[in-house]
Amino acid sequence: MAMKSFAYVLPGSIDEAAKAAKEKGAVIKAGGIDLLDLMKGNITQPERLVNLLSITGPALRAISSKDDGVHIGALCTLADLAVSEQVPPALAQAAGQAATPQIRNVATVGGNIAQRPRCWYFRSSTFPCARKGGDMCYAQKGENKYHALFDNVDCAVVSASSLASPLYALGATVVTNMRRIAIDEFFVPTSKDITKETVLAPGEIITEIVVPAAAKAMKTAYREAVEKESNDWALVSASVVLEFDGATVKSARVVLGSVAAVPYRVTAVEDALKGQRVTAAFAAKAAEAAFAKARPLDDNGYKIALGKTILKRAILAAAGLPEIASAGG
Amino acid sequence: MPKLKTKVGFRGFSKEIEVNIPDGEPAPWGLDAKLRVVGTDVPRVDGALKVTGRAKYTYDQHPPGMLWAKILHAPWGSASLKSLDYAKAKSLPGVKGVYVFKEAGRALPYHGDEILAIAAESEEEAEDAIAAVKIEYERRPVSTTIAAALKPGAPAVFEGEQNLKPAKLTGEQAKVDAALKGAAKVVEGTYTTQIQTHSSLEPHGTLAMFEKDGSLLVYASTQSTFGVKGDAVKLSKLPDSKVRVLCEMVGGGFGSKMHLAPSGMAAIELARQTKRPVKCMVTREHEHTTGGQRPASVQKMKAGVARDGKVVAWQVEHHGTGGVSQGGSGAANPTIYLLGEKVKSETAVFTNSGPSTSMRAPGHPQGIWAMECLLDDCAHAIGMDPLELRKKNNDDEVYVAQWDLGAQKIGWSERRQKVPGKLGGIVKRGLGMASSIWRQMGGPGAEVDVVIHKDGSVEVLNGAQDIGTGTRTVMATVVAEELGLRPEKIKVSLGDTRWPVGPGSGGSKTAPSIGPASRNGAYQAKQRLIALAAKKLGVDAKDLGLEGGLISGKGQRMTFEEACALIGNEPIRERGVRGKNYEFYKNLAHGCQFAEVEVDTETGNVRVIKVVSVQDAGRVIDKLLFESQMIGGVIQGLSYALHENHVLDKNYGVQMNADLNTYKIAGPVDMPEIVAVAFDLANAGNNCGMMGIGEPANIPTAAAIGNAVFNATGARVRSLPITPDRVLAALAEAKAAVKGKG
Repeated sequence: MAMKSFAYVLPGSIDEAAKAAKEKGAVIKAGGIDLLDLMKGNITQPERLVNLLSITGPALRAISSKDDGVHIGALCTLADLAVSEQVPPALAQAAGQAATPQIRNVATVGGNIAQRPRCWYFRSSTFPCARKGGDMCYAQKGENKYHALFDNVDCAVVSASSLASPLYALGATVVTNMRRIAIDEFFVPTSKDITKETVLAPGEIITEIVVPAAAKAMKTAYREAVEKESNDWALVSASVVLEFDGATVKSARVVLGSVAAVPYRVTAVEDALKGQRVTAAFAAKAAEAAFAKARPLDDNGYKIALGKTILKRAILAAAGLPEIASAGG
Repeated sequence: MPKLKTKVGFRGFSKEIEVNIPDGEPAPWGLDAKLRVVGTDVPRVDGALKVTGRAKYTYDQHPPGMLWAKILHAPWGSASLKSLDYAKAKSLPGVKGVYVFKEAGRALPYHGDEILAIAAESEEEAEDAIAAVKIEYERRPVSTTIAAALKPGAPAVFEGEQNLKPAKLTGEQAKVDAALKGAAKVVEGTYTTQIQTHSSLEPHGTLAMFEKDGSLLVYASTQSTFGVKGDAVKLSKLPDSKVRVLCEMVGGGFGSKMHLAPSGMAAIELARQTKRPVKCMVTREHEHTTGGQRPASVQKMKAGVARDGKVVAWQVEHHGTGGVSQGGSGAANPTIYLLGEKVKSETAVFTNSGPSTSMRAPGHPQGIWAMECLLDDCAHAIGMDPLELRKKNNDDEVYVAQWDLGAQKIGWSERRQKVPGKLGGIVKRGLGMASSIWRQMGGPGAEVDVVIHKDGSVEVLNGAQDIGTGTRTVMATVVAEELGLRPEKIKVSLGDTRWPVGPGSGGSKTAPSIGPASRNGAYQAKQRLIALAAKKLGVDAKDLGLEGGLISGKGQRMTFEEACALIGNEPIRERGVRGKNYEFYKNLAHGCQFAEVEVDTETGNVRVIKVVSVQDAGRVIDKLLFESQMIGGVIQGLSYALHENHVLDKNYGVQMNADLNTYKIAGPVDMPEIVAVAFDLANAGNNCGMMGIGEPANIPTAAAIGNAVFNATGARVRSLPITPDRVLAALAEAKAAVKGKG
């Protein structure tokens, strides 16, 4: 499908971009991976496209370690993030498993966390679904194999962002041209507002993401389940960040991906891990708690068993233990 | 008809048969024939053009003054067209013509059904005009799957018609019942397959233009230039001589591009209306919804097996759906094996889905999936090696030799789990296999001009298309063999209906039809060249032979080029005509595939490690093309086995994954090691001993993978695609069954 005509703005600075982005019908474009699909599908029809890629220089693209943590430029590509030794493993792993090498070379960190859901009802102009301001969620009684397990009553989309859940688990901060937003405040759950996934305001542009310095001492891992290895969306993913005191877990942040419209933090698992030594049996038991409140639809119940496995493996990986029992074991 | 004896068979088995070859044809290559080019690695003659982007497809055609046409498609799975108003659309800037497929009042029984097409100066203007069409639909309830369409009171796909066609019955139930009673074990299971779309890289599309003299020129992305010509003649009502179809390159067809298609009709009608060239290419979305599909199937089966491994009874209740089309929804089950008393009912079911078209071995991947999995169930029930069981039910020497070769290449006796699923650990490996059958020796309906020029260059012409299988290279190879030249010296031109007739590429018949015609043409042209040389050398033509670029005999010699220099003003031009097939060793191409998989029993992920494909083609003409066909077939089969699924919303009949993002096709990281083993047969039957193998390459892959998953885990997944959720469910079912027993 061809897209509608639009004005194309090439700003030279964030200020110029922000000014242009405040105008009527303006939409910000970074890598364009998500946006161009939305435009071609007539889901988003911007009158004005503000291309951040025209802002030159390393400031928006670099990964740099500072006193307060690792600063990741909003235009840093997933490919660069995947090979960075400065960022925690969970984040690099998530970036490296997303999409395809071609897409990772273009997709940006800012665009990744600001992307819209991939629900096929949301993406189809045929269905006037609730998230688009329409009457209902067609996934509830429709084809919902890839849909949400939590907070899914009014809308069952899942977050498509690979980076969202590890950043959430790492307690990152999203920095924009207007403010600093703690990651816990950045995403908007369905129950709060069905029409958007982030708190970003018109004209607000992500400039960088800061992973706190404390994360350096943490053990982290990201694991995901997919149907195929090449270019697939996660069925369910888990990000685990563990702080150890000797051999026991001092604190934990555990976040699931692809199970709700936004990253889904499971404090029950975090609490279960606290003060414990991680073993295979214990990791499996801790993972059980994560899905206690799941509300499966007709075709996505399999995600519960699968999610428990993925979470168990992420916990073990973070703890540096073998994830898969070896043959005979 | 000259009679002669020829040696047929393969390494390890041979016999002599008598063949009656048509007048004027060369003798078939026997088992001991010493061939220079045929059977070697001949690089694809148009390979460089393709990988450098210089190859021109229909999509690339852009004549001056060309208009773009876009089609308005039905958005719902079932609706009636209440009103249609395109007055405003027609008045928009750039819009030049409107062609209506369906007037108001018509039923639209599937998502994607064509309503009208608009031609405009640019693609964008055509799309804007489509968006401006005012249209009202009355949505109707849908039946999207076989199960849904069979339910009492299910919505009718066509008003006033049953969703089910009357069942076709073969065999006698009473005999099967009796045989089941006598069986040592009875196994049963319902195996299902999904709808698969062709997903050709180049979508359907046509460029049509009327010339000044009123004749019609059509560029089509097609696998049948002459088929499209026939359709265009009928539609345009022009005389045959006034319609010409061109197709230099095709970006895939897999059975979906045998006809003009609605996009072609729109291009021709709009070109006539606007007196401008009009190109109409289908979008990816509607390539999925309307471009054709492999029908889904539900096969409820029961089999009885004797202690010795002989299957004594085989019962199949089959339902297949080609969406809104009636044909092509059958399943090749049973086939290949003897299987004792057999009974089968076949029912075609209408569903609110786009029409099926033939797809790479129609009916076979579905039927073989169900049959080969149930055969494994039989072997498991009596504790027999699945390969042994197959040998008990088919002792054909070619199959047996191929099975042994495939087993050796995959490590069957060392690597297979003797007891399925019994190996410890979370990630388990297993082996499986399945066989294929395909009957295609080619036949009449192909003529090839072979032209030898005074400068020593050789041209070969045929009007049919090369859909990517390598037809050009096959022709170059066969002609090079006959003329004692290298294939790269032969210029092959295909894809223009002004040239000699050739077949549509369906049923794998192009190569075995055109190949022997090419050899006939080359053989006749060679006789004329030798006659010229003989006259010059002063020897009898029958004493001269042409080999390795030299004409020699009776102590005399002359190079190919020297002989060509003797050609007068008119080049040597001979028409090779494909004669009827004659006596053969085998009338079918045999094949089998062995798969090794690794299953993560906690996530349900299946990773295919290795696939060995053993296949005969009668005689393999070009080993590289053979491998390319096998590898492509295995990839498409693996993708069918594990990923591809045409998902229709059950309430609205809308295809939810009509793109290449959520319609999942296996990608580079999902690829196993693929070993293609050419099992060469000297077969006679035609002068090249050729059979077509474009289709069988794709037949047994899914079944081999399914059987390997069973061997690894002891859990049987009976529905395609084998996705993680289904593997986890099958594992849970297998665990429950063990507990139930214990």
